[in-house]
Amino acid sequence: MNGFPTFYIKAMIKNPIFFIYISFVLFFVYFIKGSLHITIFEFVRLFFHGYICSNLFLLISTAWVISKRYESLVFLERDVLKKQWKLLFSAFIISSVVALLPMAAMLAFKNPLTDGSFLWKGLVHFFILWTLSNMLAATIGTTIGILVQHRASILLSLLLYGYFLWKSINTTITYQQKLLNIFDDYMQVETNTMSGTIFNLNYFLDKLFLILLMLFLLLITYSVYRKKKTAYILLAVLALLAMKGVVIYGEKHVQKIRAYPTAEFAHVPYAVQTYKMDLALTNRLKNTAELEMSFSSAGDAINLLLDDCFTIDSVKVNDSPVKYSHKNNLLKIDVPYRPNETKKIVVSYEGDVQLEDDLGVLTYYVTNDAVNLPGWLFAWYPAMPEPKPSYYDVRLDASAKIYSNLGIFTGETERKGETSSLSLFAGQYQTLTDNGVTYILPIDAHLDVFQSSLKGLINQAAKARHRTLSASDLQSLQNRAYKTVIVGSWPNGLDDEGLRLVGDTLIVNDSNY
Amino acid sequence: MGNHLSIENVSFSYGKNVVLDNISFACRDGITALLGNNGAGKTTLMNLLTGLKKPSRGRIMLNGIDLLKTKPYPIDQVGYLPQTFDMYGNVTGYDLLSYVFDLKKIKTNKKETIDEIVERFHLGPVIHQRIGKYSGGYKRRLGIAQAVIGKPTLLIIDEPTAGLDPEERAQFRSYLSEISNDAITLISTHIIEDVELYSQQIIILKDHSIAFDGSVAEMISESIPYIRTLETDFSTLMALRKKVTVIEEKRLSTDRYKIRFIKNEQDVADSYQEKEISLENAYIYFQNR
Repeated sequence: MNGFPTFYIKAMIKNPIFFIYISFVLFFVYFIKGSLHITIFEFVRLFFHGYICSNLFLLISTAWVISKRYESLVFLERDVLKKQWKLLFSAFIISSVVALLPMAAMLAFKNPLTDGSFLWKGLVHFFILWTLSNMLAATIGTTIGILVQHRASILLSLLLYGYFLWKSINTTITYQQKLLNIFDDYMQVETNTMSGTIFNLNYFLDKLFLILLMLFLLLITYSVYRKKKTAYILLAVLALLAMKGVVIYGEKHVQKIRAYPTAEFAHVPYAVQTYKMDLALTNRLKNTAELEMSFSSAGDAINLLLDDCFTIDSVKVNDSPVKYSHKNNLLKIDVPYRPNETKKIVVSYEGDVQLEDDLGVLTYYVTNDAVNLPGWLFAWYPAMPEPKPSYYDVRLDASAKIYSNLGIFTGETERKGETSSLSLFAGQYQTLTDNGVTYILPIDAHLDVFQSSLKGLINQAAKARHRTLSASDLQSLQNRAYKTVIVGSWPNGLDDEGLRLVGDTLIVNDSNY
Repeated sequence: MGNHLSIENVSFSYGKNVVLDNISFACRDGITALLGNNGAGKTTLMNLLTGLKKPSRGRIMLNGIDLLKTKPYPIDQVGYLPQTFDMYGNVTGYDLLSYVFDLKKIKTNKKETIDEIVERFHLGPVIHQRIGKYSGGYKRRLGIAQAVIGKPTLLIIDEPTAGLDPEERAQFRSYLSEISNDAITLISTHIIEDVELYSQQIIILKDHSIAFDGSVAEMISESIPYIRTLETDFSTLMALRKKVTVIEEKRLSTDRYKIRFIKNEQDVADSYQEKEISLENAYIYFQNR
């Protein structure tokens, strides 16, 4: 078949290295197959030895094939750059076919609780990581092979690839260094089970960076072998600039968790009596929050926490638009109030929620199928720090099943109740019940192990000299006076014992148990 | 009518170093041998014909088409077998022929075409084996097979029998004779014996130009008057070596030698002109005149 690089595929695979490569891939699949019982994403994260093995095979074989300049082929093929594309196509086909082995294992040994959408996301995520790292290796191999035209090109390709490998396995967290990681950004940092991989802007920028890097390498060969050298050099420079642009754009758009200005709330003379929310969760959060507030003394502005990741559409007080400012996670509404007055404040806002912690791990997020919004920590709705119980009337529209301390939301649901904060969670969860307690746990959790772990956490909290849990909350936990347990995720450096009791719902930090 | 190749006023230089200086010749179907000492420009001429190098001036016309201006270069009309034909050792001969078939965009049935070529060059026993396992003879046959696939009108073959044993050379000569019936077959070689057996035209390159262009018979007849034969003793032979270019020596007895040399202005007593000389004698004459 014309156009299909059968010849080069055969030249690359008909050798013992290919069989060694396949054997290693199978070995790594077998070796980490157990991680599939956690999640597919854990398998994808741990499979980096498999990626490296595949990368090395394609790097060496493409560099070897292209560095061989047989006169009869030089005569027939004429254009070495076309040969490079043929080899890249061959590498893509080999990569795609071999990818079927780990993908088949993923399907065969996956955690049976894996939801369909997470399964597809896991497979796609694996295929993207596998293919891009393989194609980068093949691009390095062919580029060095073309430029050097000697066996030494294999060694030089290995050195260049080694640089990216070193960058990839180094536990560095700057944005630029994360972009240079040719595998999973979370290869060295364990993420929570519930979210899976999130295909957000950062994810696509990360992959775009690799594609631009490949383009840059290809343009170098074009600038050497094509007549319009200057034009290709300029294009290569443009590719470099675009890579820098990705770094700048990405750094600017990374949402980081920042401390809230809680000092602004010392002795405020107001409280929220009721919340009425009309909330939509897709790949972003859109909310119209109606707050009924009461005031105990006079003032001329209301401060509320609301994360900077949101953009406010309007703020109305008693149905009239008012002036407000929103910066440093603080919503300041310029409205005077008097003692014993109540006001209806309506805040309409929306935004992407993809907040990373200090290690670059996505911590608070909203996507179509994964949500992590611990309401007492993350101001996803206008609130005050350490709020008093309020009455919540929440109408929520989401495609995923949302677990909360007000109950479960499926599709378009309304839930009401009194609570001090509202937390929403969705993702790879399982629901289990034991002794009248509902446990909403990650799909890899075992109830008995979790219960034992929880008991340890509570005992530890009881012994701690400094704890954030109140004595009554601790007493409730020790008496197992909770009806629902949900595992959520928040930074574990908060010194909060990894436990939060909100009404009769106990929320446990995934990284603590 | 047949095919026609003409090289017209072709020159090629590496910087100031002239490799080919305004050379012209024409050939038709059959074997044309390109002879010349190392550095005479044979390989450069081959590279120009294959389009891998561009001449500084002149043109190369194949059946009225300017080979150098045709884009892309018509690989379907030209077959090329380089002196050192080598290939990825892990692919089979069939893989290679199949790939060449694709590259040349040949319109005939692929399997039939390859099977026919395999049979023609007796590659059957090895065609599905890895090329790395081929003997020198089989590799050379595969080389010629990939060159002739698609029936090109011009075949460019560099040192076709170099490194082959006598039996393989004889076999290869028969292949060349067969394929040159309906293709211009330009062969660069050092092996004069081969040239004598199959060439209908000889071109000798010397000092970057063409020193001879004609048939074997013409080459011999042109050189016969300048080649003398003498039977002499060893001391005379030693003295003669300083005066003339001796091109052949044959020891007849302990102190008797029959020699051939290229005549210069001064005649040598007792020397005579023979009716027949070898093509090798003629070639050396053209290289030394």
